[in-house]
Amino acid sequence: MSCRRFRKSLIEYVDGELSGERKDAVREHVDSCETCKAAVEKLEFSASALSSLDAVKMPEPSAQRIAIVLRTSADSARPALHSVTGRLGFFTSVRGLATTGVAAALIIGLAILVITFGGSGQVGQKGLATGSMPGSTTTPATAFSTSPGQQKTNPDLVPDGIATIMPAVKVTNTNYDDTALRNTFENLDIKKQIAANYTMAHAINYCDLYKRKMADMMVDAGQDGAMLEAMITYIESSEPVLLPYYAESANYTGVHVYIIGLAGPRRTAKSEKLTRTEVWVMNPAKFAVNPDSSIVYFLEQK
Amino acid sequence: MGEPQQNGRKGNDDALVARAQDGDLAALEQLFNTYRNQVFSLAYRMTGNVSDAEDLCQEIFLQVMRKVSSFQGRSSFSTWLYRVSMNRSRDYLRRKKRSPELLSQEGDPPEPREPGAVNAGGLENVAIASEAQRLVQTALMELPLSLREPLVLHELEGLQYHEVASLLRLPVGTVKSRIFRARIKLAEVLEPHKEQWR
Repeated sequence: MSCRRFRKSLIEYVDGELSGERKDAVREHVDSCETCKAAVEKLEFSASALSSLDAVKMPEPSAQRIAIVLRTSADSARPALHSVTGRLGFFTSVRGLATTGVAAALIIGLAILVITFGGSGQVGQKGLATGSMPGSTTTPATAFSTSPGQQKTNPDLVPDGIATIMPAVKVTNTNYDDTALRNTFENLDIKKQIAANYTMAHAINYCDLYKRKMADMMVDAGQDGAMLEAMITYIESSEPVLLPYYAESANYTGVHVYIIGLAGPRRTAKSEKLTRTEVWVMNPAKFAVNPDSSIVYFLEQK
Repeated sequence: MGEPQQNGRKGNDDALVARAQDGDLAALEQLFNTYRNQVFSLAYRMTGNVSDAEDLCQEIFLQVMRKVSSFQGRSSFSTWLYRVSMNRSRDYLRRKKRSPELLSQEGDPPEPREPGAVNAGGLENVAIASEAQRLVQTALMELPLSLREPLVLHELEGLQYHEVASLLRLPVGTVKSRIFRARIKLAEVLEPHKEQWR
């Protein structure tokens, strides 16, 4: 008798899911067919092996970490400027900015101006420190300036005067954990300076400029500036009003990471000041594969 | 996920999904808490190690968060979640095959995410408890994806043949045939270690 008639029923036979005449017919065939008997033995063995596997649960630290990432992403996906209406309303998204020729020209002009005449020398000298804690970084004053012509282009958006705070980029061998990271950012001078002096207008106008400057600084430090730039772009893709101001190539619990600090307005407060900081810890090796899986840690300070 | 849902659970899911679609983060977190173990279990069986399973879970739930607004309720949420999970899992394994050096190696100890996490037992809880289990998981990873997927979904996740067929967009007969071949292959791979199950 052909095995093909019974082969499809062997799993159900082994797993006890057959009954009546069909079960008897399969048993009779198996008893008389060496090939099917061997198959049944293998199926029984595999059933036994598979049943030895216990249920697997997500480890609690992983669950907490993923929950934070979800919360962060959800928050970021919401409009960040609900406290602001009117004059800045249109500029609540990157797309809004991108479609505004004036704003685009303004940003490009700013970037060219600063890269050409601005603080690349200062950045190389002062922004980069090696082997020290971020809290000890001294950030130079008066790094970027905006021309009066640019201010005329869009007076509502361009902050008065000059951009007085330089972003900081560092390469260290520091091995952070969450406590060390929190302490570091609580005491970071540049964060305090930005919170005291910068508003959302600064963030909107300087975010691209700072991002590119920080990428250049990272290249100067012998690291992957393009990777840093891509990471900041990824972070800002869901929340445009964030000003990147700090980046560090370091370790987090033994894994090489980029630590990126960004300032934004508080979500619920009416103040436009950049008093809220987001710290993203990202694994560059994984970012190349998938940005979503590269987020190692996230910290928010208000 | 898995077994056909009870009406109560489905109704609860529907309500949570509706709230999540309106941007209710608490609802999304409840869905995450409800399904995180099932998704992790599937991810772990498909990737073979804790670290990759964690990353894959993160990708899956981020995808769920982004796409939940497009979920139209034509299937149950759990079925939809399974589909998202399987698609992301395939992408993940494809990328891993392309760039194995960028991802965890099979059998690597999990990376400690937080100080003390391993010693606190969090990650080790899912570490394979016995040599037999380690052998089975290793044998699962030797199966081609076309056999591993239906085997894991049916034998370990408890889905019915027709549910597996629907998820994988295959005829039921093909699903049964693949599970048959997967179990035979699994037994052959484990044959040298058969004494573990005696």
